[in-house]
Parts: sequence; structure tokens; C-alpha cells
Amino acid sequence: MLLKVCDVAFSYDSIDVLKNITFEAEKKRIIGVLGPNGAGKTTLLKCIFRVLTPKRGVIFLDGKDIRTLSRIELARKISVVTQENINVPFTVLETILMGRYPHTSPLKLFDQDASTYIEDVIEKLSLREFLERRLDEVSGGERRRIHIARALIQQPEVLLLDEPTSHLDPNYKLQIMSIVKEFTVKNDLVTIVTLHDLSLAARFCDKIILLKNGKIFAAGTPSEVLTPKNIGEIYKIDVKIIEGENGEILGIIPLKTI
Amino acid sequence: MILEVYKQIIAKKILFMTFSIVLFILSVIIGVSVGAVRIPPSLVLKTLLGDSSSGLNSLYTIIIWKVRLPRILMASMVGASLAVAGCMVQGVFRNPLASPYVLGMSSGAAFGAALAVILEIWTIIPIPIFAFVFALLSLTITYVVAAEDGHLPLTSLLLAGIAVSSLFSALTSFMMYVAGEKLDVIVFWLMGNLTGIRWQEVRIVAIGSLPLIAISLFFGQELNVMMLGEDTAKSMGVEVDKSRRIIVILVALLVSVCVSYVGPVGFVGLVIPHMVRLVIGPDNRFLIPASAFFGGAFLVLADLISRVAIKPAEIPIGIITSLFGVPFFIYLLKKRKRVIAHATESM
Ligand SMILES: Nc1ncnc2c1ncn2[C@@H]1O[C@H](COP(=O)(O)OP(=O)(O)OP(=O)(O)O)[C@@H](O)[C@H]1O
Ligand SMILES: [Mg+2]
Repeated sequence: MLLKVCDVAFSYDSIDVLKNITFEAEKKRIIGVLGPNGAGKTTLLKCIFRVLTPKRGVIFLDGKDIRTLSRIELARKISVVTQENINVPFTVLETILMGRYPHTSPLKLFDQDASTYIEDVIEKLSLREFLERRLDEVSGGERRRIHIARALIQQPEVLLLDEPTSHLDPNYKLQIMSIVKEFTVKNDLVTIVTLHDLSLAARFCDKIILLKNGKIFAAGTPSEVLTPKNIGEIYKIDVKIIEGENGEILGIIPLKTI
Repeated sequence: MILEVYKQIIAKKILFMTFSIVLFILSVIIGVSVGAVRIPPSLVLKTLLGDSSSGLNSLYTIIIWKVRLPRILMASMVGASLAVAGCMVQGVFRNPLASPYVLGMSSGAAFGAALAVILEIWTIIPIPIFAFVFALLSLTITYVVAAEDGHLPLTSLLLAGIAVSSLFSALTSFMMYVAGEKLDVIVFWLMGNLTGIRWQEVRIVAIGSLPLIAISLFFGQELNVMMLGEDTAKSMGVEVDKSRRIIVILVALLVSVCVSYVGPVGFVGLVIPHMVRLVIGPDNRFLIPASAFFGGAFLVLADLISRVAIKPAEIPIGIITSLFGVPFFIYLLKKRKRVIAHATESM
């Protein structure tokens, strides 16, 4: 699977939100899209899963223009966790099982064929004890994990996660990102995450795209992109970068605003 | 293992569905047996099952087949239709306080009925036909006002529905103002009633509503996914705009068919889905059929009360449903404030 975004531009009314966005995403790799609030990260993801139509440019999935696919075909290839942590009174298991929607008949209550896989996802995301609880009666972080599980159960080839680690405690942040990494590698996924946690991005992403005012400011490996200079320009902060023995980034600590 | 847990979750729903079916059958039997003339339930059952051998009292047979059964079947279908329509609007609007009347068809139908009375056309064209035509007219206006190049935004739909409702309510009021001695007929119609329902009407409403209810059953999972929000639903493969259009039209037709024949019976479409949802949760694949039976049973029993409460007079059924509906509505408002606040936030 290969996702190609070619010269995509988008504007709300007359306000340009995305300009000249071009990049490729390969399978088994996590791409981190970073940038300040309002940089256009969510807008970019929405263009990829075709909730928004770019004003120009094309997005290809395995060489196919996504506009030629029907919603259901697209849903079999791309699954999404949106930035909002949706809260409806379904039970957790019901919510997760809805992930099978694009794969099964709407009258089928349970997709027996996928049950081992579903079991596996629930186990990995430690959701077993919540299955019978209602979605509006679990904590924000638990709900986040539930939506991620739902997206994984959709068995996509491209996984889009809009701030998957918001609401999560430090332990679950690490856990979720490890699980995302594991699924990405094991199931040959193209994964794109937006993140505000620089350390987490540096540690788990194979490639980083830094967005500034709707344009790609820098793109490359975490060590190439997440330099104090770039971070200073983008986020207007001074940072201290802690590096490991092989020059990999272990953590990025904000010191002060500039 | 997961399947076991899921079976547990749906077992409760299936149990309740069975309960509503039993309740529905019981309410039909009781409804047929109770009235000005009391008919023993065993006799009712025999007659309904077509057993004409055992020297059944022919007066009973006439009362059952000619008078009570058509009326009770009508009550069942209207109750079921309004409840199903209620489930669907509440799902589409992601708001448990939406009623199938928000789209304005009931006001349109009311105006049509009032107009037919005023113009004295109802001797030539039956009131229901007039009401139905105006219900469809109001749907068209609501739809055209709300649609924005292929989309049907929820807020616009709701506002358009409110506007159309107000417009037709005002027009109806005007009709009533100039009605003179015909006012009684209009008021009677507006209160919703099942008086004088015959097989002919039952047949028409059955042809209109039963297929629509059947189609609605296929939209359960789609509605579930749509409740996760527009973007998420699209990402999961639902053509949100298309589904919304189909569901709005299904709701509109269900409401129009029923309201045209029995008047704007209140609160069934709002309260029944909500009550059922409190018991079995929001999964529309179960909610819709369970509400259909529960709504049918509710209206049959409401009709029973309307017939026997102040014998020999009849209270219009709309008054009964509202008398029971309003206190429950207030109770919900108080009790479920949190949920409601949430649901409207996420619109
Ligand atoms: N529906 C909308 N109509 C008009 N402008 C919008 C709309 N949604 C977003 N915008 C604007 O588009 C720009 C990009 O928004 P976007 O949501 O993509 O940012 P983001 O990078 O995801 O930010 P955040 O980190 O806060 O999630 C912002 O300036 C925002 O104000
Ligand atoms: Mg965002």
C-alpha cells in the first residue's frame, strides 16, 4: 500500500488552509504530522479520508485516485479516529463491533470470521473489562482507546489517527503508540498520526511532516526535522533535546517560550 | 469469548423484544374484549383465530370484526409507525428529544384537514387525502429550504421544520378563526382520534405504513454508525447525506400516512423510543422493532382508555397520549438533562 498526496490545496471559503502539500506514505511506516494549533493537520487528514474535497491536487491510494472509490470501498481501506472523542450511550463492545460495518451485511449482528482478530485488538488495548460498560460511562482516556480499537477492527490499510494520545496518561500514551507501531508493522499499514507530544513523535514516527500555516515547513526523519531551530520557528519555544547513544531522540523538553 | 459477551449484551434486548411482542398481542386481545359490550377474552381469541364453529354469538362476531378490530389495528399501526419514525429522527438528529413531528408534516396535514373542512370539500375528497397532500407539501418545503447543494445539514433541517410547522400552524389557526360552526369538526380532527375507523382505512394505512416500517428495519446499523458523528460515519462507509435523505423521507411518509388518518396523535413518537432506549440501549437494530411493538401496544391501550374512561362518551386519543406523555416528558427532561445537554452539544 502506498498513499500519495500530490500538490493538495484546500481553503475554507477564501481562507487558504492547506497549500502545496505533497508527500508519500509507505506501508509499515508511521508518519507524524506536527504543527501548532490551526496549522491544518486535521484538515489534511479530512482530505485524505475524503470528508473534505481538496481545491486542487490529487490523493492516490495504490495508484488510484481516491475520488474514484465509493465510500464503502474507501472505508475498507482507510479507517479514522477523529480528534473529537465521540460519546454516545452504546456499550463499548457494540461501539467496537461497528468497525466491521464496511465489511459485513448491515443485518449481520456479529462477524464471526473476524472474531480472532477482534479478540486480539481488545486484548492489546486492555479493553476486556470495559466491554459491557457504556461509552458515556468510561473515562476520556478509556474512550480514546475504544475508538482506536474500533478503527483497528475496521481492518484498514491506511490508519489515520488525529491526536490519538490526547486524554491518555503517560503509561497509555506509550502503550498506545507501541500498539499502533506493532499493528502498522504486522498488518502492513500506512499510518498517519497527528501529535502535539514532540517526544512521542520523535520516538515512534518513522517520518515527520512539520506543518506551518498550511504548508510543509520540513519533512524527514525525526532527527532531521525536530531540531531546536525548526521547533523554535514553528512553536516559538526553546527546547532541550535529549539524545540516545546512537543519536536518536529520546525526549524533547520545552524550556521557555520565545 | 467476545461472542459470549456480545450474546449477553443482546440477550436483554431480545428478551425485551419478546416482552413487547407479548404485550402487543395481549393489548390487542384486551382492546378487543373491553368496551361498551364486554366480550370474554377467550371468545375474542377464538373469533380472531377464525373459529366460527362453537356457536359464537353473532353480535359478538360483528362487534369484533366490524367495530373493534379495525380500530385496534389502526391504533397498532399508527403507534408502531410513529414510534419507528421517532427512533429514526432521534437517531438522525442524534438527539433523544427530537420527535417525528419536528419536520413539519403534522402541521401541514392539520392545515390540509382544516382547509378541507372549511371548503366543505370533504364530502367529495376525504379529509385524509387532503391532509396527506398537505403533509407532502410541507415536507417538500422543509426539504427544499434545508437542502444545500446535495447536503442536508441537520440544523437547517430542524430550523426549516420548525418554520414550516409554525407557518402551517398559523394557517390552521386562521382557518379555525374563520370556521364558524365548522370549528368543532376541525378541533375534533386536531385532537387525534380513531372514531369510526373502518376496514377501508385500515387497508390504506397498512399498504402505506407496513412496507415503510419493514424498510426502516434495514437502516438500524446505518443509524448506529451515523450516531458516531458525521465524519466518523463517512469514514466507516456510510453515505451520510444519502442515508439522511432516505431516512427523512421514510419518517415523513410514515408520519404523513398516519397523521392524515387519525390526526396528530401526540408524544408516541417522542416517548416510546425513549422509553425503549432506556431499557435496551440505543442499538437501532433492536430499538426500531421493539419500539414498533411497544408503540403499537401503547396506542391500543391508550385507545382503550379513551373508549372506556368516560363512557359512553369518547375522549380523543390524542388527549390520552399527551396526558400520559407530558408528565413522562418532564420526567425525562429532569432526569436525563446530562444526556440531553450532551446530545445537543455534539450536534
Ligand atoms: N469548518 C471550518 N470553517 C472555517 N475554517 C476552519 C474550519 N475548520 C478549521 N478551520 C480553520 O482551518 C485552519 C486549520 O484547522 P485544522 O483543524 O486543520 O487545524 P489543526 O492543525 O488540526 O489544529 P489543532 O492542533 O488545533 O487540532 C484553522 O485556522 C481553523 O481555524
Ligand atoms: Mg486538529
